[in-house]
Amino acid sequence: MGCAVDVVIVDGSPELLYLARMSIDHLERRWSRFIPESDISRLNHAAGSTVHIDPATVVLLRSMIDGWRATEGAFDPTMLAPLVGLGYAASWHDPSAVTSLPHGALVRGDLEQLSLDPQLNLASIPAGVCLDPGGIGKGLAADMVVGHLIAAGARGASVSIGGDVAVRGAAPQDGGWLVGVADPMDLDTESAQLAIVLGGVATSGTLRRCWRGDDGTARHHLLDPATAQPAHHDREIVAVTVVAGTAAWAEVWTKAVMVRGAAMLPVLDRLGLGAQLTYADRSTAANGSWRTFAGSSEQRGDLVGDVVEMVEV
Amino acid sequence: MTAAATTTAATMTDPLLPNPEISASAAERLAALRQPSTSKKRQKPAHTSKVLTAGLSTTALLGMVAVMGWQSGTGTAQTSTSPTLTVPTAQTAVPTPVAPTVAPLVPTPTTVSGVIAVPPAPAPAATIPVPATLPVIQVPVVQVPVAVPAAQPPARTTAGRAQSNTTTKSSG
Repeated sequence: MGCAVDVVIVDGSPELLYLARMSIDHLERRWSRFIPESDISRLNHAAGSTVHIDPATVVLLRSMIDGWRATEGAFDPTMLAPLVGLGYAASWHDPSAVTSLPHGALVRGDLEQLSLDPQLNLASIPAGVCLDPGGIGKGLAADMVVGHLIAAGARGASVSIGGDVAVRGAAPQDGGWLVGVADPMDLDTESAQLAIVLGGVATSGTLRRCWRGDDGTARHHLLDPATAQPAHHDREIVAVTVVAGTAAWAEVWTKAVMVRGAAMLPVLDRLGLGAQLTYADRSTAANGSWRTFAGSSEQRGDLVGDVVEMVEV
Repeated sequence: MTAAATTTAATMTDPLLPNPEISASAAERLAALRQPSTSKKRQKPAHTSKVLTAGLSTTALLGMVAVMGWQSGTGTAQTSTSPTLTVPTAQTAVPTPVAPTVAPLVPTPTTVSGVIAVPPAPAPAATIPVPATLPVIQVPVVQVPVAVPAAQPPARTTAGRAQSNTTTKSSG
């Protein structure tokens, strides 16, 4: 997945570390769009034919559909073709690994046309539709690996894949897991800290995996499904962090906030999801649910509806 | 769906309840079935709980926090997804779908006026066609799970903040 992985296991055998690594590697081989033999690559090139996939990929596809529906399309995992067209074709981790698009790749697909047979692990997508697990895969993988570790005997576990975090079970200390929120301008500094017993936290931002196009314009990888261009707001958002029941859901909703902006914060609040966004001027905004996990004494600024504006956190 | 299930459940009868339609002998057998078993149950070994307790005590004493890799100064683990381990891969071959076949029952020969009627020739095995398109998953209502917060939020001042167990950040 081209990113760092942090694993913390509480009261488990060292062999569980191998299990975690094996699980992540397995998912990488199934889901990477940079690996031609992966389930995702084979689906994208199947031209509508049915493909046998790994059971974990069945879960991935169902999660994609759920996320797409819940966000009413703001999270759209079918935007691979424009992403590649804008310049994100090669892996940041391994530039020699390049995504190949099928002939007649569509700018955007209709996930309602994604067909699944969970019993036989078969799937098909219409010809031209190209799936990109980049917006959900890391979070879902973190959820799965945490589940594997707990099932294998760990009393508690935390898995962070590229900064998308899943926590479950006993924490190393009393009071739940402490999840730091890195300052998007300085990843070595934490701008906030969350206390969570069970759930997932994900952050999406525009300051990483960004590049300049042939015309010199700055581009990032978070595309707006409405325009098939990098998401843009008058008040530039550089990072969004969401707390949800799973890392996969948290990752999905970060995309929705990144695409639709601060107007989504009250929406997430009504769902019980904590969310905070950071603007380019380093000011932040968070919803009321965020305070459930981050406390309130550090929040500064006025309460705007159920959105808390914070400055210079 | 719920109403139908409820109706079905209401019309069901417990086979162990007295029923006038059941003969007396059957009722006696049923009554015998209801009697608590006189056979001696196998006792759990007394040492089991001690073993578990000892295990938990050891666990508590050790308080082991396993970490992957080592990040200097922080005690957190960090590694890369670069494949450095030989990992068994799952089967990738696509199995060829086999159309299940159902052989029709051969009708039993019947006699008409003492003449053995010739049964019709058995029809070829019926083939259940594999649908050209797979069923589209119908997700009823998407339920978004929420996280469970800790009873106490973390310390709020930077100076008093405990070290985080992990960190969320944008990797892209």
